[in-house]
Amino acid sequence: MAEANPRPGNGENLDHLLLAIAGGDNAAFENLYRTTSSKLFGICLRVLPQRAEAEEVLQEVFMAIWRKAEMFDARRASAMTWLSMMTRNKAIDRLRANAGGGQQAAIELDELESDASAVESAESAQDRERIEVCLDELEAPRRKLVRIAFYEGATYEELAQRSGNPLGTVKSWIRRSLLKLKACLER
Amino acid sequence: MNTTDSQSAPPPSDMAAEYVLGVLDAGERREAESRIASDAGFAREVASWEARFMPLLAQVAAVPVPDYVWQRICSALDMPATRRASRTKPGLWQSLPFWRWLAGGAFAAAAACAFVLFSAPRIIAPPGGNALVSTLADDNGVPGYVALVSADKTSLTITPLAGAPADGRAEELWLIPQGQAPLSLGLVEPGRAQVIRIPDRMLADVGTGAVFAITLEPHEGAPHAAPSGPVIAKGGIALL
Repeated sequence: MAEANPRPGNGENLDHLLLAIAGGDNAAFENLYRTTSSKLFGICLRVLPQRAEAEEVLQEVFMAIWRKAEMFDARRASAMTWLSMMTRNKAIDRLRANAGGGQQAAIELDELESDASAVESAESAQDRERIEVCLDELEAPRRKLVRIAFYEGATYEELAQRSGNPLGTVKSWIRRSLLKLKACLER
Repeated sequence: MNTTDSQSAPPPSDMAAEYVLGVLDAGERREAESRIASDAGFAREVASWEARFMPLLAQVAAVPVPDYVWQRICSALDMPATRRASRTKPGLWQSLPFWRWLAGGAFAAAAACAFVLFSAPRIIAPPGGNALVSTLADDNGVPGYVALVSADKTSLTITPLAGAPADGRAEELWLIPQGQAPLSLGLVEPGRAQVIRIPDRMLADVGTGAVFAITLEPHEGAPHAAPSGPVIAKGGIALL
């Protein structure tokens, strides 16, 4: 459609919308929905492959935004980070509530990375986010496990089961990966 | 891979990082959340992990949301639902679940509405043969148009039940054969019943598996090749 939507990355605009929503502004709420709902729905669907569940969680998210917008603190997080992480947390909570509802596909840790990540790696380093650069410093199988954990909200147990590795091993890999990521991100 | 990892004990838990990564189980997540609420240092750590991982979420592709989600949010919050949100929402026509929903759910409602309409005292002369009827309703099930297809399917009579759309756009009628792209039947003038001719090439597509829909479109260039605006009403087609 031709109408120009403010980009979800337009942080200041979202800050203002959240402020207005905290003051009970219906139009700001609708504007925020229009600006961010499809992005947040994409996040729901990564964690909850069942569309109906993802829709319910998106509804919960926006009801929470309406009621808790005053809790947003622009000094602590960007608006999009706050919205995205709230969405992801609600999606993961839903996933935990109905055990077995998430992704079940086996994780092949020996498989080569997809073409998509090869393309990403080819991008110039300064355009890439720090987290990507640091993820690349991990060994490929662990990088894959960390990515799946993050995008699908899978527990240690699920990761162990799906990748066919002992739970202790998967915990070790992930925790060591987090330590390495932290060291790299703080460099 | 470093094999000593699997033999030695896992490093101690970094709960803030594990919470943000999403590997904690339900009980551990509750524990992390109560720490966020009570321990400012822990809350800061969570916030910084969230900021670190945020670029990965920024890469997730946006997916168009069906209109009824906004309607549900509004009714749950007891807020008047406007059409603005749906009007600017792109991609509905590309959404497969939308098509399934359109073809399935709308049908029963149309049949029910049609029954009410035609079991009322007969002011409308019953058409002969296998006439087809459709009640086009909005997302809240409020009927907006009634369409009656002639027995030979060469024309239909459509009656708008409400006034013109407030924003000055035109109402365009579409025939959506099962599993196919919408075909334009042209613009519907607001406020009066009118007869619309069904082009010969569409005759075979007019049947109980198909759906009628109205979208808001620019006046210029109608009938359009494909809809670009929001669906304001739709209804399955039933035998009268």
